[in-house]
Amino acid sequence: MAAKIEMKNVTLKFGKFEALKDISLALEVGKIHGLIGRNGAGKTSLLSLLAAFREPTTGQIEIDGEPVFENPEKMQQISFIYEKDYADEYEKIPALLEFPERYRPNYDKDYANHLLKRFKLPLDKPAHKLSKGMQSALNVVIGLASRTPVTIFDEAYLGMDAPARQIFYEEILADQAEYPRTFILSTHLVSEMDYLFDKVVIIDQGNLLLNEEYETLSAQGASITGAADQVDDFVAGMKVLNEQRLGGTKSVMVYGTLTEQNQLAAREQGLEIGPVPLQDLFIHLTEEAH
Amino acid sequence: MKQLKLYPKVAFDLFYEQFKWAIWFFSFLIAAHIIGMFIVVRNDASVDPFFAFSSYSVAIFMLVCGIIAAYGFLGYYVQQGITRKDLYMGTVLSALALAAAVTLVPLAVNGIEHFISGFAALPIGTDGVGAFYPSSGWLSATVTFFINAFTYYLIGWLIGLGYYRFGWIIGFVFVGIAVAALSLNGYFLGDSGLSSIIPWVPYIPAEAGPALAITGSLILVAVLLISTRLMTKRITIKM
Repeated sequence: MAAKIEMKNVTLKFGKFEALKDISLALEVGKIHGLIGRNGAGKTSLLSLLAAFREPTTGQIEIDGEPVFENPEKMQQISFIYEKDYADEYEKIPALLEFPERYRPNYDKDYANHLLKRFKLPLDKPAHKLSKGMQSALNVVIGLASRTPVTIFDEAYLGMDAPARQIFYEEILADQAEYPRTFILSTHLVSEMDYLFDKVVIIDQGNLLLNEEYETLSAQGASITGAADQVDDFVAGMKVLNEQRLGGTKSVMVYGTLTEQNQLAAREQGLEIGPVPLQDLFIHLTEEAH
Repeated sequence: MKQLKLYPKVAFDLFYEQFKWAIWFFSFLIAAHIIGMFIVVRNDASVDPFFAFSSYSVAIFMLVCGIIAAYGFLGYYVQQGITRKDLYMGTVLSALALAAAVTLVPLAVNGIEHFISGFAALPIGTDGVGAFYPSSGWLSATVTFFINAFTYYLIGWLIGLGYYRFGWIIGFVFVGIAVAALSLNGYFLGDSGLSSIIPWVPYIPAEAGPALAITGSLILVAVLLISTRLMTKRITIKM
């Protein structure tokens, strides 16, 4: 049910401003992709192109080898969920859900009802009276229950409180296990969502910085924890991303893969080696690019 | 693989939605007509038959529906994976159906009024002159009413799309284009009274001949259909 997405040399210009610069990117079938980038990096522009909300200035966007724009089969396979303005929406949730139910071939009503219950969404209130977090949860319900082969959530969690976000993450993973799709989650909450990602796509100032397996990426750095002075000695000469200290213990994030020799030496000194949080890598990589 | 065609479904849904608005609209209009009768009967005057009475309001109703169509449906449907082409076809078909409905409803109400006036005196004057009066012949009046309603919808849609696509400054240009289109429409359909309803429509005293009227208004409809398609063909959806 999942679909393969490919962007070929995609450039998007607004007048003279280049929002996306010659991006070539393949997204893998049935994987959850984290799309991260700083404010104004071009995340939403990129996603609106995938969803055929607009056309690129140059380049191609294809799903399973066919262009997306104005292609009825392909457009039907994509859901683009973003923060919507419900200020003028006087319909109640059941009426609003009739729409995806009619137009999305894989829409699952039972699943939608299950999600409505989990998010505790009131069915008797008009949408404009729902809180921001509830409106976001409603968007999430539509996005998940539509079960489209390509499902895009553009910061869909905005306004949702921590427990609601947790439900969102749990449901993505649970439903992905049963009905694999190609997910794209764009986010600022990197540290909270990184465990969801199979793949990570980072864009910065309209450029594609990287598109890698989460595992590969997290191996591009390491955290070294142990006695403060030992850690300092060990990381001398390495690119330090971040450090934290608690009493005599220190934890330092470094960028770059540790050699086997390094790892052995660390173990001998009783230092603990762990992965680097994606958040720190993200901050480092996007700072470096500037 | 067979090409997926979603526009009939879109057309049905759009018609259903807008027909609900039309029911509200006619409820108010019928109420206004009845109240009007009570008022004029005290002055020993009369109101127009419902068909003629509703013609201007129906036109404005269609204009407003067209404006709303640009903002209300575009983002909504494309987000659900409907192509601009299917949405365009669906909108045009639904507008045709809506124009037919808003023509038939007044016709029916008019018939009922006529039936009632058979055994009760209603203060309805039947001697009015104009495109929408029975004096021009029922068939001609009905066809004119229908084309007029459809044209108003397309003009409204064009205004809405102009604002949606180009923002409010260039949107004004579309209001200008709409005024020109409305004037032409009034000219072709011999509806010279339009200028008294919409102040910015110039008064055109000439009544077009029937051949010119039909050709002219069909050309106008064709031009409107082509321009709305061109404007929506590759339109960027607002988020």
